[in-house]
Amino acid sequence: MTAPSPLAAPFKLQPWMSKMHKEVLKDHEAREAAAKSALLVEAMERVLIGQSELVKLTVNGVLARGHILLEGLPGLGKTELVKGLSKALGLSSRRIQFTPDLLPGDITGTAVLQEHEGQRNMVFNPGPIFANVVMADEINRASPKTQSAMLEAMQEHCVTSMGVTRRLPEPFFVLATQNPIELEGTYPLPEAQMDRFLFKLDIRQGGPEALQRIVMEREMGISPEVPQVMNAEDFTGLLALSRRVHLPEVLAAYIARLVDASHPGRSKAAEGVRYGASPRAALAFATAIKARALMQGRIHAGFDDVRALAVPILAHRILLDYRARLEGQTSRDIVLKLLEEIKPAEISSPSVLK
Amino acid sequence: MSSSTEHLWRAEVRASRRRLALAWWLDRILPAQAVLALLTALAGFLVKGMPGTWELWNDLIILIAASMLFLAVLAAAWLARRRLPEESRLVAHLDERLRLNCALVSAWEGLGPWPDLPDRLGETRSWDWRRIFAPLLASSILLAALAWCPAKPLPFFRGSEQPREIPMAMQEAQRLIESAEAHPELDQKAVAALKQRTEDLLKQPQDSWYSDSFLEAAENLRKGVEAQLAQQAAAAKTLNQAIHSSLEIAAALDAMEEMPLSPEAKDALEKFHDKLNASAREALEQLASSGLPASPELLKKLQDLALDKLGGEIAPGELDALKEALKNLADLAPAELGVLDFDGGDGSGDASAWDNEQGDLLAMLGLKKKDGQPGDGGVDRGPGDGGDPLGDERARLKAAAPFHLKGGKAGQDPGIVIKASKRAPQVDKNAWKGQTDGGSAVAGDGGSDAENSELLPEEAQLLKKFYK
Repeated sequence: MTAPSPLAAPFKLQPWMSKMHKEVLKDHEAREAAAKSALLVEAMERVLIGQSELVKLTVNGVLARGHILLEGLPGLGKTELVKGLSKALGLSSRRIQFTPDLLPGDITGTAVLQEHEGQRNMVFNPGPIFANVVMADEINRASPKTQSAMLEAMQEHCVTSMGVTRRLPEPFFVLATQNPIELEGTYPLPEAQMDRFLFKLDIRQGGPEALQRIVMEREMGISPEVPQVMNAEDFTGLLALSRRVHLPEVLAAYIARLVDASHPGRSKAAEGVRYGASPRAALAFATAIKARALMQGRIHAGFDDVRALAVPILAHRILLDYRARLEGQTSRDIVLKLLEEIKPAEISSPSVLK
Repeated sequence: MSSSTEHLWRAEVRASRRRLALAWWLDRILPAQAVLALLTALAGFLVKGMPGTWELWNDLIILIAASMLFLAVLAAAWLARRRLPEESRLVAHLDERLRLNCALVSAWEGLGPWPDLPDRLGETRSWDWRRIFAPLLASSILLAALAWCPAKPLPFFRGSEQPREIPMAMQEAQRLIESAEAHPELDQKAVAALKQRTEDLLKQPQDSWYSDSFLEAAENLRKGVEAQLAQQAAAAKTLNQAIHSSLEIAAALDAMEEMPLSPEAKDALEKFHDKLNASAREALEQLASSGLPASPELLKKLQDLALDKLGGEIAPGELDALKEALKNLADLAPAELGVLDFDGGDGSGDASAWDNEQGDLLAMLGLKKKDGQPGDGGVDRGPGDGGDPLGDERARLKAAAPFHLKGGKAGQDPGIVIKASKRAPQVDKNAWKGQTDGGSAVAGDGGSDAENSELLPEEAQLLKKFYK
């Protein structure tokens, strides 16, 4: 029997929540932000033809200051997506191809001995991670040691080498890709590292129409023209606006109930779940739905935002048990069941009302 | 625009809250009232099924049910208040149902414009009338069934309770009626009506069988039946005596048909005859008009005999049958009423007067000595068969031809007068009224042990007087 969730209790407005409401987004600011976001999306759609939803989610993740894990077959445009994003935002970007022999220093950078005016000093040579947008291609091919080197960078936005901690440029995003085939000799990402990705997006091939457009508009070996729709300062402004989107209490309660219900024994939908989503998932939710609301020009997030982002946020954070995997269940199925079971703003209803 | 929209939204939220409160109250009170109605109906049916308790518990059950309903109403209100969500949660719920994506919630918190009121606002929640009316209907049916069902002891309770003994008076009345049922001489319709009266009385609850009113009714019934039977017995006895005397006089007249009668004798004979007829008519009327009348067939036969054939011709079998019927009627009377002395003919009261008058008349006709005159000193018939003055009676009997009745017991051998017996003769041993020294002054009733049934009335009278 499912234990009643303590989060199902009435949500009380706390003083710290009221403080958050003080700097709520203005309507015109939301509209301007939505227009800029639309430009960004439009530019990205030129790169990734026929993947409108993927593009929007990617922009959503970026506006939420999150790292994104893209999973899909080779040749679907993952690299072009990263390149296009950096171009559209006017940000620096680096691409790191992860291989089994890649070392942490190859990513973070290494200190080399240099002689300058007769003095020999260890000089830090920054690695490819020192960029605004880092493309970690086939991240699961690197060794766990190298993968863990990404942890501090992704979480703290800084790297430590030779005892010296260096901050990464802001904004900093990691867009990692993962190939679901050719898994031999790969190192699946540990749960702790998976949790650091805001979204995990599945890239699927578009339909014949999308392919036709690709054939018509692209040439082999030539990158598509991507206009720069905003600079780093505009983008940072968008990120700041995203923080000011209003998050109603009932929405926070809904997010909390959803995350709580993802744990085994907390809901019927969680049957077959071995580990549920962490509190970081709840935070990711809050940030992501704010960004989505901003993209749509709203000053407040809503229940629809939660429903729309539940799968990208929760699916890679839920670990299924052996039995559920044998039965063919996926994390995505569990999340959909959770959405079905946990109703937003549910109140107990008398039987005489339909 | 915005303020009016806000006003409308706030009004809608308040209305939703009120509707939800009412719904919760109904949700709590409807099952409670249904259970209450069920319990009330069960208690009511139970009490109605227990003999003699509904009148006592009726008001109490209604009072308890009403009190419980009142408490249930209060409890439902309290529970409904507890289940009522806070206003902010209700707003969020409304927001979600209307798919406003938290626009209403934000506006309610003062952080955004109020969304437009959708057209389908009133359709968000509708009443489930089936769930509302089903318990009410069930309760109404139960209570209506309770009100409609009559209070009738259930077999379960009837079987468990000890059967009560019918009061003595009623038992006696039943016994009398049963004995009346065994006698076809009585009108069985009247007997059945009396029996129905007893059954109606016994249909009352057994607890009331020993109430004053029931006992009084039973006693009245018993007395009534007894009185009617005694009346019938007395009438039968009177009628029998009238017939008997008439036959004796007729037999005496037949015996002296050649002798001329003096004018006084003729006058006395007519008077006696009129008296006999009047007495017979009165007895017949009594037989017919009683609460337990004689059967119409018997009445018809007696009427023919008493009014038309008295002293006339009658078949011997018919006469015996009539006398047997009259005797049966007389036997119906309870013994303690003293009217059973049917064959004695020399009992107390009027019977003696009849015998005296008859004796006087016979004496006037010269067929019998008057009382006080010197007698013959014994039986005046010699030994042997005196012969039949009416000829060969046996031959006539065999031919079933009508014959002239003679006095005494018709068809009885006149030679047999007194049966031999070891018992003492009918003698009043305490007839002497004088006071003896130290003796008892109480006189006995005299001759109660005599075998009166074997004596003719006049013979018993004579014997009694002889030993005086």
